[in-house]
Amino acid sequence: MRIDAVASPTRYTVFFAVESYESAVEELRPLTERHWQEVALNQDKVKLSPVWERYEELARQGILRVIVARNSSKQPVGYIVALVMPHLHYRELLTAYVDIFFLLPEARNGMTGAMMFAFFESEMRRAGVRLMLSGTKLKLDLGKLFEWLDWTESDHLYQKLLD
Amino acid sequence: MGQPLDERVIGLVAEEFGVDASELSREMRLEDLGVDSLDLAGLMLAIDREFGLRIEPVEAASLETLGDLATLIYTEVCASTL
Repeated sequence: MRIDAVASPTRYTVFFAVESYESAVEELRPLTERHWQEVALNQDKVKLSPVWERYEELARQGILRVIVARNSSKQPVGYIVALVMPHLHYRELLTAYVDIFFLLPEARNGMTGAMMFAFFESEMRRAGVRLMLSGTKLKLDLGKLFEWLDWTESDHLYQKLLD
Repeated sequence: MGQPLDERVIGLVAEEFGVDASELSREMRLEDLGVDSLDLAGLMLAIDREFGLRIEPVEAASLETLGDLATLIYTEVCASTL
């Protein structure tokens, strides 16, 4: 199944595509800022400062996968970034570790988010991925969406900021 | 006799989206409810629990109105038991 576009109700038609990190990164940077503002914890203590050169390196190594959602004006409205590599514990298990995902609030109406993940899954299947792993913020819990998309809840993630 | 299907579907939609059932009708378009994928996922999981019907995301994306949703449930669940 391939999902190349979804008519998101009312204002948006959103298209999904796999894009190269190099071609997409400059356009996605402003979205990462909004993403951080919406969901990041400890914003007063930890500022957004991605290690872009590490992302570049992962892209060069063929590990990084970037899915970009664009509106009908070709402006980016969302993304899923994942690392695709063999699972460290299971050599034969090609695994997609979702690093980040985001949709601008104004692009969330209707099925856009679900279709973005459906597109991601179709691309991962095409790439031979057998396991997809993603977290979800408790602050913006997408557990029901993952459950509907047939993902299984498997872990809880804890954090402790050491100041 | 059980509750008519349309009423059950509209009742579920009202409960999931936190709206008054009296404000909903078969003709109402899902897009006009101002819901997102997370809301719709909650509704689809509720439909699965209530009717034992799993509606795939691609199929859900093709639904325009609450009537379309009720008709799909009727076709897939109720009609198959006749």
